Amino acid sequence: MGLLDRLLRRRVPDGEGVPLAPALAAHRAAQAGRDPRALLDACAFVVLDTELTGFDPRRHALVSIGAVRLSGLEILPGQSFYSLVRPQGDVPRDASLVHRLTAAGLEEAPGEAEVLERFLHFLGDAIIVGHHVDLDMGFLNAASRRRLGGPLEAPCIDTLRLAMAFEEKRLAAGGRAGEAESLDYTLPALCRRFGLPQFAAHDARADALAAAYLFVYLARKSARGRPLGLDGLWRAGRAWWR
Amino acid sequence: MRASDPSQQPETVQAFLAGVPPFDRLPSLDLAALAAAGRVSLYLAGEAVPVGRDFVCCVQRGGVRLRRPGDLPGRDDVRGEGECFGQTCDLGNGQDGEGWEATALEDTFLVRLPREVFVAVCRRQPFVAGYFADALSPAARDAQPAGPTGCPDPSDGDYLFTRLAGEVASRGLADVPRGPDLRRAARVMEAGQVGSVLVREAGGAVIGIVTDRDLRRAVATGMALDATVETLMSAPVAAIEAKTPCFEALLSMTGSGIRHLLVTRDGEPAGMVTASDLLLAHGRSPMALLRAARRAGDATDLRAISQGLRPLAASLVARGAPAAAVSGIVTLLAEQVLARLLALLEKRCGPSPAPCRWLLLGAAGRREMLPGTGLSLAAVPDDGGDPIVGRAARTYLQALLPMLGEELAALGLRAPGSHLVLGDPRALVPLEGFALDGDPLDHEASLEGFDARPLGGRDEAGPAPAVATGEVFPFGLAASWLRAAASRPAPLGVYRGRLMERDGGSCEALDVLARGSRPVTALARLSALVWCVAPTGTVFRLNALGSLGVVPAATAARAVEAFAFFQSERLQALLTGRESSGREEAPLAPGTLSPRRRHALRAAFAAVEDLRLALLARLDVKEGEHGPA
Repeated sequence: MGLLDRLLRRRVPDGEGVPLAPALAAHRAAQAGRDPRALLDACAFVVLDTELTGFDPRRHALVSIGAVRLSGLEILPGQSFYSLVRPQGDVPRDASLVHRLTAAGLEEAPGEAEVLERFLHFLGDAIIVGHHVDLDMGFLNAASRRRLGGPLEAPCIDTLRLAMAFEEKRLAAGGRAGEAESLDYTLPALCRRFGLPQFAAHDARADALAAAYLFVYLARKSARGRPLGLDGLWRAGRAWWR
Repeated sequence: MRASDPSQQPETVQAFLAGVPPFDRLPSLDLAALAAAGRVSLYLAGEAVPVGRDFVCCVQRGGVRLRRPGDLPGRDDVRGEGECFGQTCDLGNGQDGEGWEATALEDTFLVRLPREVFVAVCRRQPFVAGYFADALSPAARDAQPAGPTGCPDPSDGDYLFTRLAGEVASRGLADVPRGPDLRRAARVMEAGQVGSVLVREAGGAVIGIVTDRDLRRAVATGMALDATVETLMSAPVAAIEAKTPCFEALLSMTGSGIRHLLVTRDGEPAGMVTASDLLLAHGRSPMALLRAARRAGDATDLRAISQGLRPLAASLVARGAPAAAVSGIVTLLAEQVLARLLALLEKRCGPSPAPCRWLLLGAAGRREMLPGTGLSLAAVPDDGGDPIVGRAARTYLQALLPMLGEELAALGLRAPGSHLVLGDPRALVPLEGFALDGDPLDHEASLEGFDARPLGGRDEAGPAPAVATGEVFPFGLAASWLRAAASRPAPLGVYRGRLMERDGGSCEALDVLARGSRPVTALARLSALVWCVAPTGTVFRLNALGSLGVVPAATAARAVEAFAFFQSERLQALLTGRESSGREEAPLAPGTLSPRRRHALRAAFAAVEDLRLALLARLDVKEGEHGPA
């Protein structure tokens, strides 16, 4: 069993005392049996972004999820997901200033469980992609453990790590490898640097779409015109799987 | 809140399509349907982009090069951001997109719209298909051109309220004393080219008026023409003060059932205003300016009229008049001003010792003047074979032409490129010795003679006096000029804010006259020489080339559309750009052009390129028939 397979099968402990929800069971069934050598063009991806009330999954909460589906490396803007999430606690003023979502504005939004179930249905068998995706997944998994009885099983690809690897390689080819660390790797900065369309920042829908463009760009650049499999992408960008 | 409705989701793609013509004019539901069905793909620089039957592609970032299999690289086409290609899209040559090869020029994001969704939108909104089928149609162009500066409000319905009777009244008053018969009154009206005559007492007081309608009625009722004017005149004469608004004058006429009003200044007769004057003045009618030009009493009057050319053109454009109509009217007015100016000069200097024909050259000869275009003229004396009279006439004209030049400059009808010539300019071109060196457009001034048209007359028959004397215009020479003019490819279009040439070069500025109108004019003029097309208008010449089978009729028709597009762009630039740039025809900055204008520009250049290649191919055949040039 290869490293990738082991990573794919690695499990995080299920939520204690919460029965496995049917939506999560269906999600796990849809994600089972993935071929790590599948070509990217044959895979489905869902690029997501979340807006949060802070950075600690134990103290803070999700306030919105935005996602867009890709068929292979083709973005399907018509197949997207967006939902606000009613948080348990307060929405700090600093967070509201960033994403402009306030506690009052979220009062009518559905709760975590409902949004998660709908998101898992939208996700289907797709692989999750995100920019600094471990932060998003930290919150999604924490919520899923609380509400659905366990974490998500979809493998994740981080466009931040892909971008770092890409820049490192690009600069190394020019003899400037040391400069890679000093570059700005925020999503808007990368989009600007690579000449990608610009979208409104700190809107989960727009950020998800921006990350989708970034992912397609980095994946196609890594493939350099050749067919690329999931394992190849992993090697090219040292993707982060869980 | 859950935004699960697909039409609410792809806002970013929808926002992109909302800026891409022709989708920018779609109702929001159709736009949302297109965006929801769209797919975004990335092609890396140099990668082949599939151009199939299944999708219409819009370039979101980057660009693609399109090539028809078997074509030389010079026939490539390029699509930049905000532009479309693929099935159902016109690729600039009236061809279907299928079979074309597309290559990404750089890393390129495409929004691909599925054919079935696109076709469904086209069925609901026919203008979408029309945009791709005919990029140069008015419907496909920018909906509302930028309002030219100095242009009156298109809905100037208040014109009658703001203009005064004194401003539109004719200054010349025809009058007769008490006593003469109706014949005399009619002769006075005819001599003054007016529709009424005042009857005055010996002391000058106006006691009545006889109008052309009165005379008509007299003839119809069998009144003796030797009756005195007093028997027919209307009295007293209705009069208004010059400061009265036109609207009140019109009310006065309609209320009294009359058509003529005497306009007075401080109680003294100062002019006559008719119902026609008032209606013609409404909306700055070109007919009012024409009439004013015919009646102008001095250079000051003519200056006022020529100063009205630009506002008139702006007004016509604002009302949706095509550039061809505007240039036709501007030429007509300039011609009328010139005719009146020549009459005034003759009054000042005396008549010419021999009859003189005045030929309008260049844009005036082709009836394609735009505001700011100078008049190029030739004076051709007809000495009747008498050398002494001929010499006297030339001496007279040599003295007259500088004066005429000064007057035209004062009227704003001389430009750096316009010139006054003594003698027929076509006869002045040394046919055998005249060799084109480089770009024949550099010799525009010499070749403008072949657009000659007599002042106030129809097009000149025959390209040169040599033809009139039975000689055939040297085919080889005309063909070599045409070949030289057709040797320079038309630009490809605008890509990434630069004007792209077909050889891969590019530049930052677009001179619409130099790269658009003038090459078409030159090709049409020289083709007319080669294929003996007599009338001078570029559109007429192009249509003639199509109907004679010199080039395919569709090629000629598209060249006509391209010429209309270039002229329209020039007109817009002339009306909007002079104040800001300080130049009559400032080059366009390609980077500022909207995708819709880029689309039309590419189609227009493609039409010129097709014309050029068709003429070259036809020249090969014709030269084969005549032997080498």
